[in-house]
Amino acid sequence: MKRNLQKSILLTIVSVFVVFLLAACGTTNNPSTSSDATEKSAATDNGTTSASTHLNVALFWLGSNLDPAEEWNGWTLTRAAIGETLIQFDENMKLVPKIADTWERVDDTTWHFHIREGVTFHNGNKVTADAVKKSIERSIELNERGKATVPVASMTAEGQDLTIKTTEPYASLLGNIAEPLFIIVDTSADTSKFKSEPIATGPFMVTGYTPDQEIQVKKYDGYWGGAADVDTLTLKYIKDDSTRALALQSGEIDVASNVGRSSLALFQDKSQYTIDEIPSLRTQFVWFNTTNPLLSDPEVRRAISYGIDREMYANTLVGGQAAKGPFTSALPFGYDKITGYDYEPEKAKQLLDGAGFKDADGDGIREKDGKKLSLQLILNSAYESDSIVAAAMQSQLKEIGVQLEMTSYEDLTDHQKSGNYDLALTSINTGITGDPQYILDFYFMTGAEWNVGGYSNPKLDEVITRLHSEFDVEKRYALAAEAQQMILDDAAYMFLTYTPINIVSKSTVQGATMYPIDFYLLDRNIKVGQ
Amino acid sequence: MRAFRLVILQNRWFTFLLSLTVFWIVLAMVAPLLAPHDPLATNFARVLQPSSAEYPLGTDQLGRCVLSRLLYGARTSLLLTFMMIGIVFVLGVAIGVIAGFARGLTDTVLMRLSDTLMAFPGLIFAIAVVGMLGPGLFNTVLALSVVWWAKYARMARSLVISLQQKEYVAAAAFSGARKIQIIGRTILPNMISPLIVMAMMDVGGMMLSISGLSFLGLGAQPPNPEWGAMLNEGRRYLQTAPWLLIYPGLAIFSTVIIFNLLGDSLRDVLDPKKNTA
Repeated sequence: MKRNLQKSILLTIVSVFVVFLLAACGTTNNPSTSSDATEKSAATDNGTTSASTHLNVALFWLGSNLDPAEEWNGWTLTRAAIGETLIQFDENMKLVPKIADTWERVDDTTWHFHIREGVTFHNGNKVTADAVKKSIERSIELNERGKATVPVASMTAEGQDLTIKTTEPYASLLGNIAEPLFIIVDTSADTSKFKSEPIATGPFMVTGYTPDQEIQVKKYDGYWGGAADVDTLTLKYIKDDSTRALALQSGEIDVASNVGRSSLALFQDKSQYTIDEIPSLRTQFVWFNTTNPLLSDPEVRRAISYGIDREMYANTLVGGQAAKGPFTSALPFGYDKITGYDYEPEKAKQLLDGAGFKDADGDGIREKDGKKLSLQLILNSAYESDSIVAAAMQSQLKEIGVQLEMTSYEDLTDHQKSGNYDLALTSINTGITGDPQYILDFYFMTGAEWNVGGYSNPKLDEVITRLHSEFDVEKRYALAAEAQQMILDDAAYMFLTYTPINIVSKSTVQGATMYPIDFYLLDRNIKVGQ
Repeated sequence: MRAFRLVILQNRWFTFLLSLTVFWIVLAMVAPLLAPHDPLATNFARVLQPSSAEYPLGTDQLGRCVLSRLLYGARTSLLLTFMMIGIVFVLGVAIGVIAGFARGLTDTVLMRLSDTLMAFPGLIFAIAVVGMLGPGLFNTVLALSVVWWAKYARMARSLVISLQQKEYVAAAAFSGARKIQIIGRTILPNMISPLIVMAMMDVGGMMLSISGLSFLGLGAQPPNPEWGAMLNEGRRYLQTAPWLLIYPGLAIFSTVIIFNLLGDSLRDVLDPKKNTA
């Protein structure tokens, strides 16, 4: 009896094995398994005349709530076409009118905006210069970043005319006011509800919001540019790159941005999917914690900077382009004028030897005065390109005798700000205002909010301060190049790659365009074609 | 020796499983000799390649040899599992014996403590512990041990209590043996075989728990190869490079099932009723 039972167990196991193996072969040979998903969407397409149209869109990031004045939440609202700013960037990073239809610089500290006629908030209220003024004041009041990026001395509103006076000559005001922090909201509405239901001006308005999960929106019929084509949208927060790709493949969502590079191959079938990939303004970089005694020596930071092969990361691992400085080659901020770091492991070793770090005990890790050159790198490994590059750095730095320990966190912000790390890997959009000043102010000035590595160079501070009052564009870019070179010479940061960004949608979906600046994703033109 | 030969001959199924287990352990021990490459060596020129003569099981996203990583991963997985079994076995049995002997307040306190621990879902509790201590292999083992000993303590306690009723224990006490002698010479040898069976049956489950925590990124940290961590890293390539998941998956699957079956048949072998039949 026993023998027979055992035999049958063994047989079951063997057959399970075989089925597994066969199934595995099957999937490799034909990757397109989502035919019924397209049928489903095709079915909804045919019903456009009678039934309402609905799209599911994946968000790769969702903030703490929906109030644009808090943190970076505004970015979600512009991506979802819920909120709009006075002016915005187009595909070529030029500023184009949105709620303001014209604007001009009156003198060094005075700017004039004319608010477009016929723009209304989601509750039907008219957008006047006064409403815009109050909305901007609200953003400045509630957000540190607002105060710093738009230094307002006074604002006057008259009918549809808004005049902003800045406290000092401030050249980057236009770009800064296009940041989604300054989404125009109706401050006369109940602002306490903005966390879940902001009243803005975009083609879509919020009907439901589940924190950390999804936003439900419907089209706003009174939109000044004409009501959108799609009736309702569900914006689902899917933070993991590969999960997002799977959701797209299963038909759960119709549009996704930032699909992981490893998954792009799955969407090559042009009859089913459209891939739009462009170079982004995102720079993947590392903060060095310069307060760590091991990293306070610039020679050590330089050595580490020479010890990693950016070209190879960009070419074979994550795509995009090897980085030199903080600003991508797509931005005219002096990329051609600066000198970055190449992969020179021998030079790296020499520098470390020179700095007194030698591997005396033969374990492959250098040490000095008994302290091992072992560093902790923090990252969020849900981002595919970050986790791959981190592992590659770990392996390459080991060759020059530097040990890297990786710790992954879901929410990095707190850990970055705590300063409780040696290296912190992330990627940021460095072109967010179409001008170099913002990033230089916030990431590199001594004591700046995002200068979390404690880097300080008074000469650099001075160059950045000069940038504030320089209005000539060419001279601004020259100053920016000078500042970048200083940062690179100090090796206070390590710039890795310029990330490509993509948007993948079902081929039935039209009007999803990728902007180099990732403020935007949807607009009123999104629609489901025939 | 003769008894051992009898066991081997009479229980072919058990012998077969035992040799498979030994095979795995030997494989893990001689991993450095068998592995064609350094498991940590990256080769960016050959990223995500399917199996070839140079890389029998293909390469991962950093061009590391999957076969070498699997072999080294076996070391981590097996070593950790046995280490954990060792810890919880000693800890659990010690606590159980103390509780069973002392009875009274000590017993109540220890057993309520183990009841409390057993009321938690083990893996979730371990995740919480690792979350507090920070990720890492050592913390994983610690976290799982904290949860796992309770089972052994209960078992050991009930065995001690029932064995104390036996005549030969009473005889030992009457002949003047001290408590510590009774425990060491009379009770422990008689309670060890059910506990060993239990430990054997647990190996699979523990291996799964360790791999599970590593899969969640809480156990083995990159670049160290560990099967669960390999699954996690390969997860993104499920469709484009399935070998990154299939091989570690099969490794976990086969090892766990072998240990489970071995535990099962060990119970049969040690079952006194069966031997008399």
